[in-house]
Amino acid sequence: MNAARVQAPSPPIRSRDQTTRVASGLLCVVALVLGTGIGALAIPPEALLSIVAEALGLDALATAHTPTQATVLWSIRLPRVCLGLLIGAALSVAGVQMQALFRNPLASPQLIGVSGGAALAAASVIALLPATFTSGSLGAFVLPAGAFIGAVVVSLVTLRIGSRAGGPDVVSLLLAGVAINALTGAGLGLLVFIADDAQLRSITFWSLGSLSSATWPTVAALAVATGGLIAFAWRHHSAYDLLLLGTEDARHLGVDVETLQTRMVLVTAVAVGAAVAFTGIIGFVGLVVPHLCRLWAGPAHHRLIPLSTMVGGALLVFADTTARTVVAPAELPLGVLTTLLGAPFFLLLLARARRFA
Amino acid sequence: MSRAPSLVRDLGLALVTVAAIGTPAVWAGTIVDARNQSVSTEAPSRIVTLGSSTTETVMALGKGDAIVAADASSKGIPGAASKATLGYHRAIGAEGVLSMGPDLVVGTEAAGPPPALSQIQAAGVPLALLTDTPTLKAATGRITSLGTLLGAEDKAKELVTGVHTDLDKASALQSGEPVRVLFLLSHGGGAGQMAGTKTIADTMITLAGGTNAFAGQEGYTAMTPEAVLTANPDVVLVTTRGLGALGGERGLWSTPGLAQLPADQRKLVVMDDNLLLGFGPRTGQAALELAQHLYSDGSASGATTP
Repeated sequence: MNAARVQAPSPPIRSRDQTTRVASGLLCVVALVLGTGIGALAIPPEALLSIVAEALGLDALATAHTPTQATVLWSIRLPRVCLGLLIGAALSVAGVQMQALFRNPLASPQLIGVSGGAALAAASVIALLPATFTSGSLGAFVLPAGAFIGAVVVSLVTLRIGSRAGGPDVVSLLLAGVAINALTGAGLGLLVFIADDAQLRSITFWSLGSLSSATWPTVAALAVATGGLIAFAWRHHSAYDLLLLGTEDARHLGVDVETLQTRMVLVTAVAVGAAVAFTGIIGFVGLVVPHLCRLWAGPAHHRLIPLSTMVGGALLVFADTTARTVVAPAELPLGVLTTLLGAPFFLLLLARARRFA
Repeated sequence: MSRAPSLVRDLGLALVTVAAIGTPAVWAGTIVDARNQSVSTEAPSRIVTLGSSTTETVMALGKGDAIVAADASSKGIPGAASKATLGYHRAIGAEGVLSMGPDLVVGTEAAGPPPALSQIQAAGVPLALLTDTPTLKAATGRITSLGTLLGAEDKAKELVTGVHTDLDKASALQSGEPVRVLFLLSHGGGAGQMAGTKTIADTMITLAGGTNAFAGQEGYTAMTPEAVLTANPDVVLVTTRGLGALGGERGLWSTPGLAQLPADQRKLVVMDDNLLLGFGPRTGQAALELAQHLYSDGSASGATTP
């Protein structure tokens, strides 16, 4: 029934679609402009224009900026804003996908052990590897690589345990995820016990999340991961709608449920694993953004997926801009800020939903 | 106690000022840092320091006025509290550092994250990371390197000589069997942690002529009653902040394990956090003070003033 309504939109819905698309696009643009324009180092608009003019080869107009401003813009702030957009989009779309998989609005990528696995692996790298591995020019890649492998391996283990013959069983998958998360938590505790003071603080800061490691290679890697995730989700958006009816109904309506569910977990593991590997744990985005978008545009995935992409990206850029400016020249941990803002908002939604019910 | 270092610093400042006026302007300091990278500066006037030992050393070298920002761990150093704070030195933001317009960033190997450090370097700001190992050689090496880098070689030599003079005085105080010292670290919450080998506390105890009572393990280990009794210390060493976190002197001696120590082993030495663990130019002074507590009057129990 849902699907039928989705396939034959009446004119008002179409115009609402357009408004939604324009509004979310505007939100993204505003986030980009603000994120690029604001920072610890002052880059006034005329300097910004002058830097752009220089990049375009218009040297006559490129007079209003210092070399430091140009470096900060090109190699620090822009990659960071781009990374924020990509990570926000990845976490949000992964949230949409997990909520479709589990048919539960409380689901998030965390449930299949992605963040737990990444945290365990990152802490192992910090606490167990000798410092020679993690310092030096290659050292910067050891931690993200380890975290990524940890995220994917733990998700695969969860998937394997949560699968029956043929494909994943949602309830088993959920239970396996809960147990695996407890297990990675215990492992993390053990590593915290072993770690010395400095390592302990590194583990803590890693788990608080930050975009301060943003570089162009990081952005490129995340662009591939996020692009893959969004393309996959978009290709299967009508199947996700059908999944909401229940696995049996979806199967009868022609969805290859087992294959789809397996792939949903794999794609989420790789994309969120890549995101978490570079930034640490950024809480609540994957849960709150899909909710927010569902309130805005309804549960149909052909609207939910693009909207979550835009809104998630924009919100994370806003959050990061706040994180790096409120206590400048220091930075607030981003994961703390997203949860600090996301959790009360979520509670507000809950309270409102109860009043309407 | 706190008057002496500021006098030394003022003298140092005066000396450097004289030197700067006497030898007209340009000096070039070049060192090879802990990453084996060569770092050069010319009379840096806007310095960002990461790590308390770095900040304290730069100040002792008479260049405190040139520091424009320091990390959060430097807050406790006299004179550094007024500097802009960059957050924890393992989690700095490149743009925050660059926004201070520095012409030199110095820190220890502990500074990070690595991408932020490369971005700072890519912006053309000289970055020197000094060794972080808890040995005396590393501590004096940092003073010498920073002296060269900041064009204050003479002052650095003076500081290193001062450290060795104090250490000689400290070892002259030692008499009889080395005192067994247990260092407890606490930032509040829980019973505290015991310092094993390869910690700054371990090095300081050794420099003061004592033995670390908990030398069986590397790094810090959570304190348990049985481990304390096995360590069987003659003296318990804590920092001022640590003592506060452990519930003051009364709270400390009622902690399980410590409460069961024989009465004649219930001796407490309290020292200022930055003095004891700073591991900068005051290393010798700290070791000497600790040695005085351990050996001078035969009893350390009265030494509760920082």
